[in-house]
Amino acid sequence: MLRAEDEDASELKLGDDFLKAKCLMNSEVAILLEHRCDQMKHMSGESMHQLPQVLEKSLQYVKRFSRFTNQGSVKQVREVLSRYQLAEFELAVIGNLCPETVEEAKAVVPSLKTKGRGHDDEAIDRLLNDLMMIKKFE
Amino acid sequence: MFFHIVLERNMQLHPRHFGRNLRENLVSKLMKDVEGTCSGQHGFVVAITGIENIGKGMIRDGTGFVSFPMKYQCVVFRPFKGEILEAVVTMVNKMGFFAEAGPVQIFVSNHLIPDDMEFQTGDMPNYTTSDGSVKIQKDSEVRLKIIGTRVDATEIFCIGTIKDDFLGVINDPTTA
Amino acid sequence: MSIEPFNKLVKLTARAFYDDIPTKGENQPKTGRSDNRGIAVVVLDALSRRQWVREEDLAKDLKLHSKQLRRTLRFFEEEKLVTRDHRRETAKGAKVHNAAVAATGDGPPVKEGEEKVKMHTHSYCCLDYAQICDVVRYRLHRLRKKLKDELEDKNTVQEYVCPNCGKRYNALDALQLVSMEDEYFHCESCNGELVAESDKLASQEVVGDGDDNARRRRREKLKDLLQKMEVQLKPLMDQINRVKDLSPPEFGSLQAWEARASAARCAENGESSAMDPSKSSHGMGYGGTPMPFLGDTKVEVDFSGVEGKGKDIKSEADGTSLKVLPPWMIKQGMNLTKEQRGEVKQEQKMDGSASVAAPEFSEDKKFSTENNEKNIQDEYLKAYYAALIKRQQEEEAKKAQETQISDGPSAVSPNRRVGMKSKREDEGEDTVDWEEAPVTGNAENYKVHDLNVEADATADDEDDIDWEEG
Repeated sequence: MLRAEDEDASELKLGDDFLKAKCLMNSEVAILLEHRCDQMKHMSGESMHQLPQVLEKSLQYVKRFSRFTNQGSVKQVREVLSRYQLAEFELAVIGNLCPETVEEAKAVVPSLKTKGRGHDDEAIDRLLNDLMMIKKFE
Repeated sequence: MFFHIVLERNMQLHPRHFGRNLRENLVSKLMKDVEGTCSGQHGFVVAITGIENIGKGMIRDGTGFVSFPMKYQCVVFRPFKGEILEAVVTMVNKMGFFAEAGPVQIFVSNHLIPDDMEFQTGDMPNYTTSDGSVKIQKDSEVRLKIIGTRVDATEIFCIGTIKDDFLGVINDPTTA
Repeated sequence: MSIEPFNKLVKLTARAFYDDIPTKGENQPKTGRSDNRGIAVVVLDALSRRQWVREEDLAKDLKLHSKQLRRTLRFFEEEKLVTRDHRRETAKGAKVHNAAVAATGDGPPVKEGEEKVKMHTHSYCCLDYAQICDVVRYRLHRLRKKLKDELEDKNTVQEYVCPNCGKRYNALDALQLVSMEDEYFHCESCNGELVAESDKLASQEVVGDGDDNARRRRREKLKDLLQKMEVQLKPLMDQINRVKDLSPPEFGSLQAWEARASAARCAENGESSAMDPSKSSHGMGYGGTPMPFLGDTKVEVDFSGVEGKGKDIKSEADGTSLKVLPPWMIKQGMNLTKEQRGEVKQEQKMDGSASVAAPEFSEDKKFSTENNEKNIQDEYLKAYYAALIKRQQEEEAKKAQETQISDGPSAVSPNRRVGMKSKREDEGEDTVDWEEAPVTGNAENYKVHDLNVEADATADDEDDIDWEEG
């Protein structure tokens, strides 16, 4: 197991447990958690007034920071980003932060700059354009 | 970052819960036991989203309890050093500010706030640039980078910075 | 298991981190004369040649005031290099320790006739090798990390310190420190208002303009610092890596050590009475052969001891001409012979056998003596021949003994005796500095048989390092 001090998301060092795990964008988490909350309310009926704290805080957070709210477009974002040979983690960060420029994208996902991964500025630019289009037509 | 992962756990169930609702009882006990917990390895377990499989129960010697190995899918939140994420400011003081990203608290010390932002005390303590164009106060939304995490049995605490390109305030509540 | 790599580590550590530590009390006037920086190094070196030692004895050996020594030791205790033990004991009780010390071949022999029933508190100390390794490794790690973090402008974790009680925190503790009453952090134990520690090394000097220029200068300075560190501390880093997988010497507690030492003495009683290390070290206060139980007996063909006769500090350089000078000594006597720099040493060491090498050494001796003042030359020659004769006698004795004794340590022990005896000749004239020289020499000589190749190589590496700056 990776020691905490060796972890570095900017180099995609996430440790064995998370290296291949599926990352979720905030928009996706929002959908999953909404579903779970409905389920809870349904199960406990009227007696359920408050959600567990971790769930509640997470739900508030992902609702506030979801770039896409429409289920269809959330799905589309993942589809589109999947075409660019991104790591799960990179995909989710880009989906969450929706950088507007190539420069910004490389700043928030420094691992894009790693040589030999085929992410030249042009490819990143195309990716960001695709993302913008989805947002526009949401 | 939120992850969707599969975890395992042995659930022990008293024989009185056996019967037609065995599976249902197991699942609801699993949810009660696991959701909202936090471990250093996997972070916060936010919600269980599905059961992959429940193994054969084993009777525990001497107790009559039966132990079922369960595999389940869940959403976890686990912050990483070097990760860039957005957070909501919850408190501002002279030493820096605290922010929240879901269940995780993050502290940004004043030396990791850009040098041109100064602390202003008052009802709404805040950090403001000299021209007043950018302000960080309670409920501001900031984009920050996590530079360190502290993990204990039930809590993960992070420290972050906004002193870098493309970090800082993304939404000023006073102008929004 | 050898203690040598660890002693080298101690010596390097002493010179890297403690050579400018004054061991004076704060309130004493700081005059040039009483400037005693460097004592710390002497004390550490001395400890590296001992095991548990009573602090009074150590003070006597080093000709230091016991108060001064205690202050230094207390400092090293805080630095986690030294373990200390204190106990109240009668003069009789103290003898238990003396006996143990005698068994290890260092320290003064048991003195008779001071039977006092009065209880005294005696303090003992010894190096804690295992902890030293940890402490040094951690210190190096912190040094490098601090510089690198700052250089990469990597956001260092802010540290806070309580001005009242000195407790330290960092930004990861923020949640516990926040106060509802004001806008500061407060100490968990005394509620004092915490102060952020300015840990920026470079910004301390280059303050002000805050423009790109200043930033650039800051970076340059940091880079420079980091580079200096990597170069100057390289021997130390190499050494700490070298001992990484070795198990450090462990003396145990004072009591355990004494018990073990006494047992060991009983075991080897027969032969030890023959060579009687305690007697040969009489008046020296130091026998030069630490830890016989560790199987680390040293071969010592000690001409240097003789040579030291009648000389002052300068003799140190000559005394060590038998071996490659360690890097930290080189700056002291700039007037070095080739072999002192380690250039000729290689082949001599390859000889291995001390007796074969002796004539060559004598050449060296003469050569190096010529570098010295004339007036010591005569004395030197006299002493030299005296020692030569003595040594030849010893050689005979050795041969005689070797026929009887066949196991490892005892086979080399007669050689050790050669050194002792020749040293004894100098009784009363030795100085603290003199005392050190032959010992380091022994250590290196011993290495001839096994570790020398690697050790020599590193010694050469280290030659160009300027310790003054370190």
